[in-house]
Amino acid sequence: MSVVFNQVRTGVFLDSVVLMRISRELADLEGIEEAALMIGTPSNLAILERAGLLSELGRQAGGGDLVLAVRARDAATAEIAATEAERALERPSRTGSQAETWQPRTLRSACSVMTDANFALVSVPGDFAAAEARKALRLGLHVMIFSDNVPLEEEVALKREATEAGLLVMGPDCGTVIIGGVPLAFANQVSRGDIGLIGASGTGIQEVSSLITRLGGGVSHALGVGGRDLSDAVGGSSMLAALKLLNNDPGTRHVVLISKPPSTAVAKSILTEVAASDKTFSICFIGAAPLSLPSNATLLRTLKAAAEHAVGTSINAVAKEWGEGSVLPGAGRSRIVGLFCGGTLAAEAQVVFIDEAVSVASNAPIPGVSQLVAASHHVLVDLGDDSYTRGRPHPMIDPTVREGELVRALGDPTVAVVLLDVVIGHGAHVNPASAIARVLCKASPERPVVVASVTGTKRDPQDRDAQASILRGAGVLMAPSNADAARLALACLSLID
Amino acid sequence: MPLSVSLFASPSEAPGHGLQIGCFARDVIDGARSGRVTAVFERSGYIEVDGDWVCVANVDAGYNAVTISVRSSSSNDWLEHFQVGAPVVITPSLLSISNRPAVNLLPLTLWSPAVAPCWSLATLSRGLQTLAKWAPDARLPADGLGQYLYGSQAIGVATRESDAAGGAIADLTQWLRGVVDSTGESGVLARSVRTLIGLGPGLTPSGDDFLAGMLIALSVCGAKRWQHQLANAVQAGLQGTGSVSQTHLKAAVKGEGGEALHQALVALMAGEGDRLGHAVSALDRVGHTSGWDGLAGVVTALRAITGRPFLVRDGRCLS
Repeated sequence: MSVVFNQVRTGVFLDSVVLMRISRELADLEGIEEAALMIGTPSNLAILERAGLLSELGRQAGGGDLVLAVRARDAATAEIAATEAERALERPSRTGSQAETWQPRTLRSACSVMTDANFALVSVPGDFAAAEARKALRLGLHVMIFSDNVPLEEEVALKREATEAGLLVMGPDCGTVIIGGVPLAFANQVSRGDIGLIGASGTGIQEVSSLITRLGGGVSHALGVGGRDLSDAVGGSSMLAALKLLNNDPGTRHVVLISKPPSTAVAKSILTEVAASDKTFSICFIGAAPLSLPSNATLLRTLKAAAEHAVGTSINAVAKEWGEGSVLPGAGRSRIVGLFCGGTLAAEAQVVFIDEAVSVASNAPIPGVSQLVAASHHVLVDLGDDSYTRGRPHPMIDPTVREGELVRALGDPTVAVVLLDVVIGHGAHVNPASAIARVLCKASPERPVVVASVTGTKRDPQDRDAQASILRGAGVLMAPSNADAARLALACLSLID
Repeated sequence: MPLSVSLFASPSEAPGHGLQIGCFARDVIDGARSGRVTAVFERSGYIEVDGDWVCVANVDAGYNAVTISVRSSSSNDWLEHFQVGAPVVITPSLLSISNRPAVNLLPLTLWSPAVAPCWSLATLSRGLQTLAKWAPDARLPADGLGQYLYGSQAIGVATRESDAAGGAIADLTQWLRGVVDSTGESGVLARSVRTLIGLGPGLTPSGDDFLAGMLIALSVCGAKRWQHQLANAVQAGLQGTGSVSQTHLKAAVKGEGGEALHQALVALMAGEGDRLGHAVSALDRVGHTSGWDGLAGVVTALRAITGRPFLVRDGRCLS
């Protein structure tokens, strides 16, 4: 004669997967005809009742109770099931012992367990970053310093020590690195290939490496050097060290250099190293005046042009998206407002404006562009600049940093076109396109035209195609690259006339 | 006194770094000062604040309307002091558990689900057809209500809950088709919801996940009247399920749920097959059957909308 056994536990919450696993383990026991482990809601009690699994005790259960219901061939078997259930339910809900979750607290202890490590990523408050980087160098490690606010004299000293030790210091304030296909910090999931990148700009590396991938090429390594590396004070120390590393890398055929214009002296030492290399080079010193280059190097005006030169294909030959739509700027509107998360993307847009002979102002102007003032007409704003991010997250992490500016621009009756960059990849916001789409949904139908591009790849966590689709759905005109977006913005403006 | 700890503890001392907070969770903790821990899991915990529950979860659990998503430098160390009954103190910058800083709330930004795409009957039908093409290969779990993904006749092996739910799901489908009257306590709608609510295995029973999927789909499609009627019935029946599930249903009543479900919904509406594939893979990892149960609810609602084409105008359902 079968025996029905119920047990009711109040205030016990277990993951659904755990509940099902225990339920199955009990049902598989010898002599158990049927078993269930469910919360005691009226609907569940009804199905347990229909299954002949409920005793008087079980019928008293409520929605906050966990009901164990067993039908066994005899009382002894039911007792075994109850004991087994007790054991399973008492099992710690969190797995992993102390030993399994041990993590080193110092670089030295990390090196003692990872004896083949040759690289350290330092991301601590700026005041402590130099000390940690120095420890890493003395342990024989190349260093990426993600931290910013490291004093300039510390950077100079660290890089001098690294040069003497034959090591590379990437940073400080180095946000993007890809080594052997492994993206670090703010980087994209790009294809592997034979093109090496060295950049003093995180978003510059992101745009070029992503475009290279979309053009069908691939990246061997992308090495960041930090925004101050090509200054006179630092002397391009890390770029020179990175050049030596890539020169000696048999997997690198071609190298792209990305930076704001270096000083004459620093440019000369870098170009001397380039001339001595057997690789070919695309050099993108954004906004730089024409340079005298060795025969194995070509100077490109934009990030897009650098990527195309490196791969030998035009993005416009492979890209699917170009702005489509009937939205035209309304009468009386005449200004372009660019709101950028990426400083180098803002700089690249400025190059496009200069090349189209359109005057523009920026809070981070390149040579030939005026400083932003209240009366500026066309403006290209770098929202990642310290003045916008002090005490706040970077707009690549938190899109709300841009939202206020975007709302203001959309409501400004003088603005004809709003130009945006959307940077995705590891470390970036999970869905920046939706954040923009939400703002656009609330904007007036008479709003300015919005033009954007997405920096990233289809394999990024956010999926570039999905992001572009969200933006298109919100009425944004999409361009295949940041430079193309700037050109599209200017083209939209020309339609007013 | 717990409050004193929060006043003097620095948010930077907290091992957990708050990343995103869902609207429902934000509304619950906004202005609140204290609560208690009510449930603890491997990657998450629930806290009760003024009678409502909020989930605090490791970021890899996915974003959700009811969740504060947390990242930490070592795995789950922020959960160390989560014990059922432990006191919670909340300030604008810090969540403390048992007098110890647990989660820095300063970096929190508001998570919102994917917005409704541009859609039409054609894109919606294409999305549903794409899903239907996968039917033979679908990795539907044996438990739960995912078996109703392809209509009100369950496919696969019947289970206790799928048997119990069949009539209610058929009735809800008829209601959406306008075939039966829904009004009143004894109406089809109230009866169906009473049957489904709290039905099935898991902490969020399958019936609840199914109803949440329907509510969210109707909300995102703009089917206001249907969503309002179903929301009223669900609210009236909330006591029929457990506290964790009540939390998720309350958010669904407001039209919001988990990230993966919203992604699947907008992919279906926009008829984007690739995106749908990614979203369904993500749903497959939600709970034991919850992802599939929710998707079945979404599809039930969307299929009904395609059956009433005259109600769709300019990418909105005018129910």
